[in-house]
This record gives sequence, structure tokens and C-alpha cells, in this order.
Amino acid sequence: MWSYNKILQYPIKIKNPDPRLAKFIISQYGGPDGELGASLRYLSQRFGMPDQKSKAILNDVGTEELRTP
Amino acid sequence: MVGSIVHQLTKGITAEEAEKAGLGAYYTDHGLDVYPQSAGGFPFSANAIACKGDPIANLQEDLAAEQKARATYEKLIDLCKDNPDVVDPLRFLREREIVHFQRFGEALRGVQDKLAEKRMFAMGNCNWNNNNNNNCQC
Amino acid sequence: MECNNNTCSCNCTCKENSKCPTREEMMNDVRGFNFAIVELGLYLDTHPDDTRALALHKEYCKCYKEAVERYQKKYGPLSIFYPCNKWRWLEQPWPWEGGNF
Repeated sequence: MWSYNKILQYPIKIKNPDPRLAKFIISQYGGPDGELGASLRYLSQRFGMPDQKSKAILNDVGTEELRTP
Repeated sequence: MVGSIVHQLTKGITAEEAEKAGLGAYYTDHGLDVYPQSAGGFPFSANAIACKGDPIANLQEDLAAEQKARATYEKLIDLCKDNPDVVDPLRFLREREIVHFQRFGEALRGVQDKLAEKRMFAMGNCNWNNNNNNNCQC
Repeated sequence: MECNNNTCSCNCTCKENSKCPTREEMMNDVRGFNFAIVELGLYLDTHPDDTRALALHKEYCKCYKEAVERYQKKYGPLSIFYPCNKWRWLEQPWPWEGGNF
């Protein structure tokens, strides 16, 4: 269940825009090794795990990764 | 968080500034929305969501994924080193990948133990009850 | 990170004074305790029998609840599960706009 908290895990306050850097950083949003892919991968894999610990880790790391895209 | 970084880095820029930064094509298709794509411009692909239906293969994939994400953050930190407002959250995100790697490693060891347990149970299936002979050969 | 800094007795109606923690300080408390809980949660997933970590988790959950309560009383909801007499969800800037300090 998705539930939004109006806060970031780490504060982001960029004083000077710099689109040159945005061009690279977007990769960690939706690129092959990015946060979106990671969160969806863990949340999809959790269904097939054989023990409680691995189910919990995939669920909880997937949830944390979902905070980061 | 990454979306917030991208949003703030592009906030209020003009079309000319976007083009100068190499974002001309991006600006054409997405304006200043944050669109899930790679640095090379490939849109987000479900290929990133590797699910093999095998706990060991999946967890090994996840361990590698965390290392690849860490390596990507290190490259980004290098590219952004002149802008501390950007480097700071990138460093935080890099450290999270290391913690996740550690936890996945522990989960993998647990899964391996669990699967080994199962295999021993399967061996015990051979007439345990009818056969009091401890030297079962099967 | 201090858990018991709620010596401030101010609420929505009182005047600011120098002893009141700022919005930034309150936000940092919320964020810090939230982080500690997430981190301990992951650790406890693979070390459920670690009693020291479990005790820390309990402590930080208490601190987090208090910090959230303190913030919300003054600055409005951090989630929509906090009722107010008017819709205060729109009052503070969104995190991605740099409103989180």
C-alpha cells in the first residue's frame, strides 16, 4: 500500500540550476541501473522468496528504493 | 529524490539553455517534466526488472544491481564534483546502495540455508517410518 | 539528534520566540528518526534476534511519533492521515520544490 509522507529522505536544495548535470543524473531515475527499475524489481521478486527474511528484505528495500526515484 | 534533483537542476531554464546542455531532444519530447530515461536517452525499460523465478538467481541479480547503482553514483559524483548541493544527496544515495547490498547478501545466505534444509528433508522421504534402519542407502 | 527537545510549549497560536525550534529543525528531527527506523528495520529483517537493535527501534519509533506530532501541530500535515479544521495539506511547499530544507 502506497502512502505518501510530505518529506524527502534526504534534503535537496539546489541553489543553481545546471541542466548539464540533469542530463546525466536522469539515468539514476529511469536508466538501466536506476532507482525505478530497482524498486520494481525487488517488489516483483518478493512473491517468489522461500523464507520470511528474504521476503521482508525485498519488500523493505523495494519500499526504500521507491522513495528514491 | 533523484526526480527532485533533476527537477531542481532544470527549474526555470529556457529552451536555449536546455539545448546548450545537450537536452534539446529531451526538451522537445518532455519539456521540463522528469521523464524516466537513461542518460543516453533510452526510455525506461521493463528489462531492468529482471525476475527469473529463482530465489538464488534473483538475489544474485540484486547484489549485482546494488553494485552497479553504487558505481553509477560514483561516476555521477565525479561528474558533479563542482556542485556540492548535488553531490551531497548523491553521496547519501550511494551509501544506501552499500547497505542494501549487505542486507541482500545476508538474505541470500538465509535462502541458501533454507534450500539446503529442504534437500535434506527430501532425502528423508525414503521410507523413514517403515524402515528403522539408520543405514538407509537411498 | 535529541529526543526530548519538546521544551517548547508553543502551538499554532503563540508568538515565535527564540526557544522554538524552527521548521527546519523540526523537519530534521522527523527525517533523522525516520531514517534511523528504516535502517534498523532493514537490519532487523536479517537479524531479528538482536535485542539491542530491537530496543533502539522501539526508542526511535517513540521519538519519531513525538517529532511528527510536534511538527504537524505547528506546520500542518506530513501525511493526509492528520486531520485539521481546514485543508492544510496545501500550505507548505512540496519536498521536490526544496521545501524540505
